[in-house]
Amino acid sequence: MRSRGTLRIIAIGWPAAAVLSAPPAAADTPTTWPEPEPMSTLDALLLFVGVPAGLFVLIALLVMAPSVVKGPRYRPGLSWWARPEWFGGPTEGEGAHRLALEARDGSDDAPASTHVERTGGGASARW
Amino acid sequence: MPAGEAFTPDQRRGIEKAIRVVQESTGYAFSVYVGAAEGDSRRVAEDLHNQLAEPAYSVLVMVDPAARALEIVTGSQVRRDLDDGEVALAALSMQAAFAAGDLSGGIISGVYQLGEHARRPSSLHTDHHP
Repeated sequence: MRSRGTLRIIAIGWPAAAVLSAPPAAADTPTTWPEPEPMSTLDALLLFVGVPAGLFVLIALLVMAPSVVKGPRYRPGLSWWARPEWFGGPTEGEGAHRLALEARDGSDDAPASTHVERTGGGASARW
Repeated sequence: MPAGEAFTPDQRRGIEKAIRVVQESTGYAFSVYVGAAEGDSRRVAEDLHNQLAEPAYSVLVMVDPAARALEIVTGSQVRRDLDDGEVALAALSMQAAFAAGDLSGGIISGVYQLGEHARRPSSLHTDHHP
């Protein structure tokens, strides 16, 4: 009976020998394969430059599409681009305003809309 | 969305709806101004507030995104139901949303919060009030 050491050497050595002793000639292109037409420069450019560039543009568009659809977004610290907007201002929403006034208890003392209001309150904040 | 618009149509509708809902529930007029205020923002906000039809019964929220300023002005009558502490609380939550870049969300939740505080307690025992 062979010793365990001999068996170990055979187990490692045999596959290694089989790989290392393979003849390099076996990697040659078979002569039966058809010879391809040589590629023109234009085709090569299209394939190796056009396709990656196209993919690049496609992926960039996919990434940018949501923000383009949503429009510019406010970012604190960057300049403000939009024109002023007044919701419920004096020029619009008269109906809603009148509704709000009518809904109020009529026994309230009459508001003086002409005098300058300085007794109001409020709060300020910065961000 | 054309350039130069502060809000998308959805956001605009949200703000308008918040104002409408709050006006109906409180009976006070709410107004939101979003734009640059030159000079003292408090002064500008008070001037805007005075341009409203009924300043005493109105709340004006002014947001200046360029100067990162928020001003809330309440009329003298509104102040009876909406004291300055409650306004400051709403301003605080709006401030947090604005700092995170959410203008419309901050305005909408702030208006609702102001409306929630300004709502007068329903009087249960004054049905036959003259």
